[in-house]
Amino acid sequence: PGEDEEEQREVFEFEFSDRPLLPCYNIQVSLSQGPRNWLLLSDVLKRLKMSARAFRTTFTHIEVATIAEAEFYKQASLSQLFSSPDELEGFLPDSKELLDLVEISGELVALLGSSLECLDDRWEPVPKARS
Amino acid sequence: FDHSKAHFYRYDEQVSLCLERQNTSLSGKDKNKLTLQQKFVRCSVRAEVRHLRKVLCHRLNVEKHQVQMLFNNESLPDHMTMKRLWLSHWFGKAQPLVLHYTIKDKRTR
Repeated sequence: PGEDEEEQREVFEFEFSDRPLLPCYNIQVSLSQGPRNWLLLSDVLKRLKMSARAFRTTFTHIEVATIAEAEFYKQASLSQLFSSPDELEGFLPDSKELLDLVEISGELVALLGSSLECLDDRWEPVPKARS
Repeated sequence: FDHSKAHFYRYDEQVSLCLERQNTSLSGKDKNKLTLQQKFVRCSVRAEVRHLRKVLCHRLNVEKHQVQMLFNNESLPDHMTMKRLWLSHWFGKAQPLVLHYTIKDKRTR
């Protein structure tokens, strides 16, 4: 298949890690695109033991999105996966502070030491990870 | 906005799992070989138990019939989605959802 066709293929992706995975939030950050899966930049920096400045300088191509904490809380708290009272207790529902988010990608997954396993629509493992 | 890819599994909510191997009578060598070194897993809420089994087979290099997925010692049906599993067995609890797997001897069917 060509690159476009390959990109269009829908695959199940399984991220594997030997460390507990960072919390992932399914959030719509802009009206121009639907919900995507994001990690908090602060969590990523802690895991990578990097400063925000070093991260932005080293990975200039990784887009950092921002969202108001109140909006983030509103969307995240709607998820049935965050039904435990502990999950969102660090966030303030009325805060106007901005949160930095980075979208989960193949590169970020690799940076965090995880590996990806993909299943195609015939449920066969495929070696190609998402970009 | 562009809706053409909105249905992709990668944009679904993702569920966080911890896959622990159930104790069985495997020898020391097999025990290591047949135990996931990366036991923390994230996948779409639309993934089903059969997909997880398939991925485990690939990771551990075993056949599909050898892998069984369990929750609280009960075998999980192949077509159960992660979302349904979460809502019926893990709702109100913190992530990750802990599942167990067993690896049967290759000759046992």
